[in-house]
Amino acid sequence: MSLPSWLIAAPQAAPLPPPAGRAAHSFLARSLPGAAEALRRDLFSGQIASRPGFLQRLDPRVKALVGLAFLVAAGLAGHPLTLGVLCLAAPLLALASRVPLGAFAARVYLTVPAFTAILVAPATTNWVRAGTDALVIARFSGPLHLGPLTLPDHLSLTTQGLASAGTLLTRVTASVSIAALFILTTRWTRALGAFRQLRVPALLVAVLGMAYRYLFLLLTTATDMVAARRSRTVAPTTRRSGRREGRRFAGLAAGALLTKAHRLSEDVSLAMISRGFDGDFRAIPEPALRAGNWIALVAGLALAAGVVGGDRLLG
Amino acid sequence: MIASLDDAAVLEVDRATYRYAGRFCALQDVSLAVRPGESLALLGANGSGKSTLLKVLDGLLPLDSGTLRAFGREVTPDLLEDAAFGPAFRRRVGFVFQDADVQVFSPTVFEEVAFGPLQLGIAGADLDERVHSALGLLGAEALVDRTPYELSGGEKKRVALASVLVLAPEVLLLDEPLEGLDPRARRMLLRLLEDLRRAGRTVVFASHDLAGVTDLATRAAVFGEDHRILAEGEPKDLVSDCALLARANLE
Repeated sequence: MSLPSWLIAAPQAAPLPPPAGRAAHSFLARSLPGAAEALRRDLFSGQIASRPGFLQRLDPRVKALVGLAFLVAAGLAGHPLTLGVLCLAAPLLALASRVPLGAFAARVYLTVPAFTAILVAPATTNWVRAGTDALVIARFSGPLHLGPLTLPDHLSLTTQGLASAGTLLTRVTASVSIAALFILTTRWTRALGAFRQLRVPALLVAVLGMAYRYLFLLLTTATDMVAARRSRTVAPTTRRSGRREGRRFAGLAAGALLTKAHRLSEDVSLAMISRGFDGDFRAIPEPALRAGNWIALVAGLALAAGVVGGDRLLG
Repeated sequence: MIASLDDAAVLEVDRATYRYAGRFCALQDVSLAVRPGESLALLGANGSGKSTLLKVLDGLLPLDSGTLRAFGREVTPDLLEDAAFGPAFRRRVGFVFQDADVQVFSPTVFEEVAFGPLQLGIAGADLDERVHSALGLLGAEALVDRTPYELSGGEKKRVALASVLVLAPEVLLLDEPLEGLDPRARRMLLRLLEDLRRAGRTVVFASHDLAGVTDLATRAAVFGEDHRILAEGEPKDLVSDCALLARANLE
């Protein structure tokens, strides 16, 4: 076989062009590195879970049960002091468990409470919930009529609305903190074992484990696809054509990934059958709880009950 | 019931045809017998049907036409669902997939290797000992607590092999077993497969890489790109037949 003339021609030694501003990249190309970062963070949380800290020493089953009890307590508590104590206790527990406060804050404070605040913001106004004005935002010449609705002649934040929003926000923060502490201080594999022991169906736990495993595999494939496309993007793109091509590529990549995921699932199923899987999943039994963990379990449950009792006393 | 071509065969296909999605031919009229204790190499270019034949021999793909026999019995999809035959067949025939990611699906290496024995009712100290021993055979003891995404491609391959070897199968089916292994792991695996063959195990492996085949295989079958078997015989005779290798797109 002889090389075609276009391949034989010596490459022109042209100088590289000067920088012309950032090239436009598709939504997919911009989002996948973020997903890869999430993957890296997850691997990092596995390292945190291996550190010799307070919560890491507890059996995952104890942590799961006590965590669940505290989630219920946070759900039942209504006094700001109780919820505030729960919110403050979480970072202290994180410190005692050698969890970097940055990793803890990134999971707890930066996302979920912010989204909750956006959701509850309308309920803090007198347009959604009538109450005593705490801060008047705007006054109008008279009541506003929006179709069948009649709104007051001013827009304000109400004391009652702010109090309810504050309670909900601290409750969400406390609940997310408890969940984050469990996730950060428990290896995923041990958490799965704990779920099995706590009577979550073994097959469901296995599916959870596999979903986690293959999500990463497909994410890596998607990241590689984007990188492969970028490495062959040799013509300059305008913002508009880049977006159009990006959407087209995203559609094609999603289709290719779906096909790959389908093929993968079929092969995984065959690999399981080949090794004797008959639909009845058998898992490795977890060892019995030691005395220290029983004490921690009782103490943890008593503390959670104490939180609820204390909240009732505070009124 | 169709009479066996070879009474001594542990696994045997007769005029086997298989099409993916009922359209794309992967095996065409293939007849082959696997004899006990032999090391049989399936040679062929990519897409010639080697992997499909291994899956058929493991009872994972139902044939469109032709028959599969195992240990003297005709194997049908219904028989593989049988409460007695199915587990017994799985215990006696092990299959290592080409793509280790397919096979390493459990959260940790220990659980991965333990998956098969657990399905077969092995538990407790026996399970622990068996898993560590299987990993030791492949020099992978240090990986026991790792998660799959903490493994390199070669390490995943070794874990996949251990997860099948742990069942001590009588017949070991391997799809491209040397692919992705570094030279040391490759030498270790070749030595292990040779030891298994000497211990009386039957090994069937698919490969498009002729290097190492003559050392490992006692017999070989060459697949053509038309998904039929072009030739069977002594490995050294087949790999030195330039015309045959050219026809099979292996030269």
